[in-house]
Amino acid sequence: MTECDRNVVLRADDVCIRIPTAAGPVTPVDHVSLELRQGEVLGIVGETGSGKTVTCRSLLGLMPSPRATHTGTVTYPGVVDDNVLAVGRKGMRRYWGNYVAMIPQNPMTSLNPVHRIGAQIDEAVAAHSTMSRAERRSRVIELMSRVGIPVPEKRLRDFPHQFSGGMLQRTLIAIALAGNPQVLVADEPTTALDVIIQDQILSLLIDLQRDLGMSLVLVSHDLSVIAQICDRVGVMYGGQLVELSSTEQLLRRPQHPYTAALLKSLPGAVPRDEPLATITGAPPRLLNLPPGCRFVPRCSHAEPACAVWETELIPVGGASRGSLVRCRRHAELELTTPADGISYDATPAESDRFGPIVGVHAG
Amino acid sequence: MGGWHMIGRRLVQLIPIVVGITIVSFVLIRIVPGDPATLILGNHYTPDGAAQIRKSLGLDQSVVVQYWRFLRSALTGSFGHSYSLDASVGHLISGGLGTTLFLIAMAGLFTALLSIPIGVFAGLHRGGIFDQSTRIFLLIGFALPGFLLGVLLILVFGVKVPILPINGYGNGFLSHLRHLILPSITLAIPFSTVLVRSLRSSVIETMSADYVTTALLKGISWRRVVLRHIVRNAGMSVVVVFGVNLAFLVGGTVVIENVFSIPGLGSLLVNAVSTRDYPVVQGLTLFFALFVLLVNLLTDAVHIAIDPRLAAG
Repeated sequence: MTECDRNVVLRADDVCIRIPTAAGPVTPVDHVSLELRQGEVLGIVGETGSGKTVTCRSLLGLMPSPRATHTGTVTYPGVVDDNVLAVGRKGMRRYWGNYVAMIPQNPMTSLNPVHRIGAQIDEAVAAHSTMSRAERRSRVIELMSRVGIPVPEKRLRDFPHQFSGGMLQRTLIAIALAGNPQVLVADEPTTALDVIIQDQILSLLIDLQRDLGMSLVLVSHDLSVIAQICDRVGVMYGGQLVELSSTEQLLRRPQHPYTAALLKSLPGAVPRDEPLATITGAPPRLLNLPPGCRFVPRCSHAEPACAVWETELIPVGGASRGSLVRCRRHAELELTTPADGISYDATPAESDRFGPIVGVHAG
Repeated sequence: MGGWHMIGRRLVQLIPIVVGITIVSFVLIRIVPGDPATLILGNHYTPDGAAQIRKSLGLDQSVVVQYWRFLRSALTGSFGHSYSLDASVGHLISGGLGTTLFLIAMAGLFTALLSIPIGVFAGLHRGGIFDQSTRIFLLIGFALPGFLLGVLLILVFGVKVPILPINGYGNGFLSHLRHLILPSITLAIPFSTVLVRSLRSSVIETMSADYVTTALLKGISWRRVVLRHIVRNAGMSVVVVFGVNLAFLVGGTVVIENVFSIPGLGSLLVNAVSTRDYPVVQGLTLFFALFVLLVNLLTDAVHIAIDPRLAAG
């Protein structure tokens, strides 16, 4: 099962998205390149405002504002070879729901309050099929039970306000699955939910991903979630991808000082009686960014040269599937990770990486 | 069923409001200078004659007694007898009511036909050429007083290109319809500026709602997204604006019925005020107030019916 053999289902190449604002242009996505292979789970982590959501939505061809401009390309090799960013609403309609689907951040606002749950799932089913009304109904019920909504025959008559947050997110997952997509983009799918519900939703998501062989882009600001689930992880900072590597590599041997700092700031990274490590300072505003490396003001390894370095993603480890890092000192730095910071199973495929997610913080 | 419960409570709350309105309408017309008896006599005025008439109209009695008689007549539905016209006020109201309701209904219809497409289109294509040009329409429509607009329309469609009747009400349904075209357009234009604006901003707001993105990403047609998710939801808040303003349209009919000489309740009220026909003014004021309250109540009921969250309350 060498990952290199699997098809690339989504490729982003040097994507930049720029939004003009009164205070000047903002660049929430700055030269982001990534590849998603069939059946792969790619995590994207970063602080609030690091451009995760905009990146995510650009993978589906959605722009953050009608005035936003873009460079670079997003393609679905073999399916959409034109630039997804330029295809537009009309052209993308055939692929939305069918090839790519999204699970949103906030389930409470992502369903139309005036339509019944069943009708909203049915709309997604009907979008890409010629089934009869009765067939669609049984498909809706099947989808609802697949995502764990109890008594679907009854609950499809409910309105969204009669559902809990977790149930709404299950409904949205059912909507995303309705067209049997190859690629699922989940934009912080559990952020708005209770902790216990978060775990249920994540388990469901991973279950479905494995059963249906979908590729999943999972955005999160929670590294422990990412560690449990993802094959590869991209770390975003200030609109840029600063590191992209396999989960194991990232956790064992982070290449970028920001990644290392993130790992150190996790609860469990330090003994109980010591204060948690924090990254001082604030994430950069995406306006008037420093010319060089964006992490310089907060980096403990920064040199004057870092501030003027024309950043680029540098391959590490040589191999084509090796890591990429955006740090000019990565070779000389010996970045350490907390000894027992994050539990990570070295052989995820064979073992219980889908096991209990609770307790991942424990160190 | 919280929402419907609220409607019931609102109905009960109407009682003190209506009583308050009877007092206001009773007092207001008496504050206005001018004496009915003097106006009825005109050139034949003598102090004795005036006193005689006042006595026969019951105006020599105390204010409290007069108010009580007004209340009693209101309860029977007759609202008393007109001073200047030989009929009970109840009769006069039922005579002009159909005309005025017809006018309001047509004005409401024109408003909807005019503002829904404009508001939705301008909202969907925010900042486009169409959106920019509707601003001019909005500005003119909003700034132009109704009577001036009415006179302009009379000038254009009645005098320069005489294709439509400019006064009266005609006979028979089709003739009524023709006679009411210009007056209802006159009412509809300022009304639709309000509606276009609220619909436009409501559409813009709804377009950025998360559920619209969800709908879009299902891969359904844009047309379906617009109709089922954007317009349907944006319309909910606009229904309230429509209802409230439809009620206020009654005020507009008072002026417009006079401009176009339509024998409705508005003309009746203007004539009654100028002849200080107290019972007619009191009766009509009360009636208009009730109409406004009922339309508002109806608006709430419609809102509850179309928003499932409110029905559950």
